[in-house]
Amino acid sequence: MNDNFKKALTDSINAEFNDLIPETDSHTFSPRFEKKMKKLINQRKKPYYKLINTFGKRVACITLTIIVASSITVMSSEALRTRFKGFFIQIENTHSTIKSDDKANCPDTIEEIYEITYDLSDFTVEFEDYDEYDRHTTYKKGNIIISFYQHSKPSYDVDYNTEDAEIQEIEINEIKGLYFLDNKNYDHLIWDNGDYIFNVNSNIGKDELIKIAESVQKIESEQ
Amino acid sequence: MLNRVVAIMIAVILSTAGIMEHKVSGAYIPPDSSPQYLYIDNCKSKLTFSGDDATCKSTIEGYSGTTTKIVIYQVLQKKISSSNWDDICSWDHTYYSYEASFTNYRYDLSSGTYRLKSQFTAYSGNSYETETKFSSEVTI
Repeated sequence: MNDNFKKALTDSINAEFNDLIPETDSHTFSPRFEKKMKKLINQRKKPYYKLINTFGKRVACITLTIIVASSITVMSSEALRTRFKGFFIQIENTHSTIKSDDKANCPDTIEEIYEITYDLSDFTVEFEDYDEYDRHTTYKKGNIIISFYQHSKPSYDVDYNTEDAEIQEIEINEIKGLYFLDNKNYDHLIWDNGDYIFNVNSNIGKDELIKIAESVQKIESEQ
Repeated sequence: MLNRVVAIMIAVILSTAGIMEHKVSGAYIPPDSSPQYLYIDNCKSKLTFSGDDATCKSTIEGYSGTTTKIVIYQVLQKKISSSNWDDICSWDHTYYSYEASFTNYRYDLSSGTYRLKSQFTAYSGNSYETETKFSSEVTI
């Protein structure tokens, strides 16, 4: 088709249908329509337009956001970190790491020795391990084991078996501390007297162990 | 193309989230996992310095009548970058007891940041578990 033929054809059609086109005033679109058009035009200018330009994509983006947010929540709950009664506790699935959360104004090393004063005369000392930062004595009578620890606060960083255990608050001589029963039926008491961290673990029973813990007293000064 | 990318991303995140949910609920057990804290009551890894001399101490308490043997493996490590450590020296010892304390020394160390890696293997007969505990980092 050459250009002249195209022009002639267009002219003839225009002329033929000119009378059929009604005379109209210039159209004014409704404010609602104008607003919608403006919104569509603005949306096209956004850099992420291609990500949300269909209903399906918008649903996908919202779903993605919800899933990512949920995943982050799940991940952060895997190791629960908390501060409780002067202790920093990081709870994992099988164990917990417990540290002192209040190391100000306390000795860096053991300067005063504390011992259990409860009558353990029918127990034998099974294990002793003393250094300038920690003291540990284990007493044994038959199947009953009592482990007593005195820790300097800056060096206190111990992993405990707390699987299936619930760490609770307890008072030892009006000092608040931690208590839990582990899955081997050993009771654990941990408390901070301001200078040192004490810990007694035993299968002797909770009530007896509290009496033993309450009997812990300063014996002498470390030379 | 973009739809495919979004679909793949959703699939990956859904499967990851599914695994995590199982892990938290306790139903998912990784095939290479080993049991933990069956034979260990508590353990500690402590690194202290006096000048440039290090004291490396690892302590563990198991359960009387359950824990029959303990192997302690210590590695003194020096920091070489934000997440990389060099092994400086190591020691190990076996104890036929349910509790143990293992102390070693290393003298004249160069300045830097150190930590003690303590690996505890606790046995109950032929069964065993291994737990690793790192000390706090110490800079000299």
